[in-house]
Amino acid sequence: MGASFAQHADSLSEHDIDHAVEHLNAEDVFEAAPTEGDEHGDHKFNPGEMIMGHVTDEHGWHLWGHTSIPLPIIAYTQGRGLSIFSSGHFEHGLVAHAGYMLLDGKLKATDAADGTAAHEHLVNEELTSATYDFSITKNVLAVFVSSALMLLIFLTVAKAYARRPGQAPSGLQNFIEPIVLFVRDDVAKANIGPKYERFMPYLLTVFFFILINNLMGLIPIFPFGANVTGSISVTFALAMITFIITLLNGNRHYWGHILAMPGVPKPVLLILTPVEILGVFLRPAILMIRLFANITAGHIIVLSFFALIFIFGELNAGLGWGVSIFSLLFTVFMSMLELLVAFIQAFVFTFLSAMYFGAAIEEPHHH
Amino acid sequence: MSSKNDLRKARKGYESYLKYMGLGFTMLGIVLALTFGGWWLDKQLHWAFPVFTLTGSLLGIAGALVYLFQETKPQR
Repeated sequence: MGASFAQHADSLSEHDIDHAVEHLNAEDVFEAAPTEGDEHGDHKFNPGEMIMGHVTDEHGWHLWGHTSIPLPIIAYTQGRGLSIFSSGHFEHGLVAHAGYMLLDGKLKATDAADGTAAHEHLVNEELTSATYDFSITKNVLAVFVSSALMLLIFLTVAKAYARRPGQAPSGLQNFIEPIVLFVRDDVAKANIGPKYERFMPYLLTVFFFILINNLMGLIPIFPFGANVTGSISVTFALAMITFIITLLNGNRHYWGHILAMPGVPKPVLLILTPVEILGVFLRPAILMIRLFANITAGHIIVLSFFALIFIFGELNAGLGWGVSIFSLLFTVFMSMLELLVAFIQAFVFTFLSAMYFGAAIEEPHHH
Repeated sequence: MSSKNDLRKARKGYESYLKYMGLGFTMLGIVLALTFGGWWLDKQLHWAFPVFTLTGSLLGIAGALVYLFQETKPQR
C-alpha cells in the first residue's frame, strides 16, 4: 500500500521533477559562485525536495523560510576523536565546519577549511566511512519530546491511581484506562494466553510510543511534526526488540515447529524448514516496513496536496488560490484518515508482536 | 451486557483475520529471498546457465505455497 501511495505522489509531480533536475544543475553553479541574492526566489518550486525534506531526518529543525533551529552535531571519527558543535555552523548545509559538512542532509568528513562551500568533491571518503554520527537530529529530539510526554502522562495517571485507590477514574485516567484495558484484554490475553503479564510492560510501551509519535507527526508545529515512526531506523529498532523478545522466549515447542514441523512428511520438510527459518526473520522485517511505509505514505500524500498549490500557483496565481481550496479540503480529509491510521498502525504493531510472543511461549497441545 | 458480548463476538471475528495480515508479505519475502539467493550464487559461480536463479525462484514459489497451507491449516 505504501509503495502505491508513493508512486501516486511521484506521478503527481513527474512534470516538475524534470524541471527540478534541470534546476539542480543550475543550483550547483549558484552555490559555487557566492551570490546569495536570490531571496525573492528565481528559485523554482521543487516538490520532490520539499516533500523529502519534510519526511526525512535532518540536522536541524526547519521552521519556515530560512529559519531553522540548529541542533547539536555529535560526531566521532576514528583517529580524529569526538567533535561536538552546533549545526548552525553549517549555515543550512552550505559550508563546511570543523572538518565536517552536510551533503543531502548526511554528515560527511572533509579536509576543507571552515567556511568552504560544501561540495561533493570535498568529501574525504576514507574518513567518512570511519565516522559515527551520534548527532541529536530532528527525529532524536522528537523521540526525547515524546518520551517526556509519555513520562508526564503515565506518571500523572499512576499517581492518580495511587492517590485514589479503588475509585472511579478521573481526568486523564478516563482516556488512558480504556486503552490499557484494550491492550491487556484484546491484544495480550487474546494472543499470549494466561502468561500474558510478563509481556504487558513492553506491549503497552510500544503501543503508546508508536501512537504518540504517530499523533505528534500529524501536528505540523514545533516541537511536533517530525516523521519519527516513518523513519526506518526507528521502526527497525522497534521490530528488533520484538524479534529479540520472541527469540529469548521461544520454547522447545516453538523451535520444534520451526526446525521440524511435527506431522509433516520428510520431503516437504526439506522445503518447509528453510521457509520457516526465513519466516522468523521476515516477520520482524515486515513489521518494520509496514509501520514505516504507512506513516511515510500518509505524510507524503498530505505534503503532495500542499505541493499542488504551489505547482499551480507558479503557473498562475489565481489557479494557485483555486487549487488551494481543494488541497485544503483533501488535506483535512487525509488528516482525519491519518488519525485513524495512527491508531491502527500502533494497534497492528502491538497485536502482531503479541501474536509472535504467543507463538513463542505456546505449550504443546495433546496431539 | 448483551451489547458487550456482541462486541466481543465482533472482535473475535476480525482477530481471526488479523492473524493472516503478514501472510502475503511473508510469501513475497520467501519468493524474493530464494530468488535473490540463487541469483547471488549464480553471480559467484559464473556458470553458463543460471541454474540457481531458476531453481531458487521455483523453490521460492513452492515454499511460499507450502508456507501458506501450513499457516492456514485448521488448528488442532
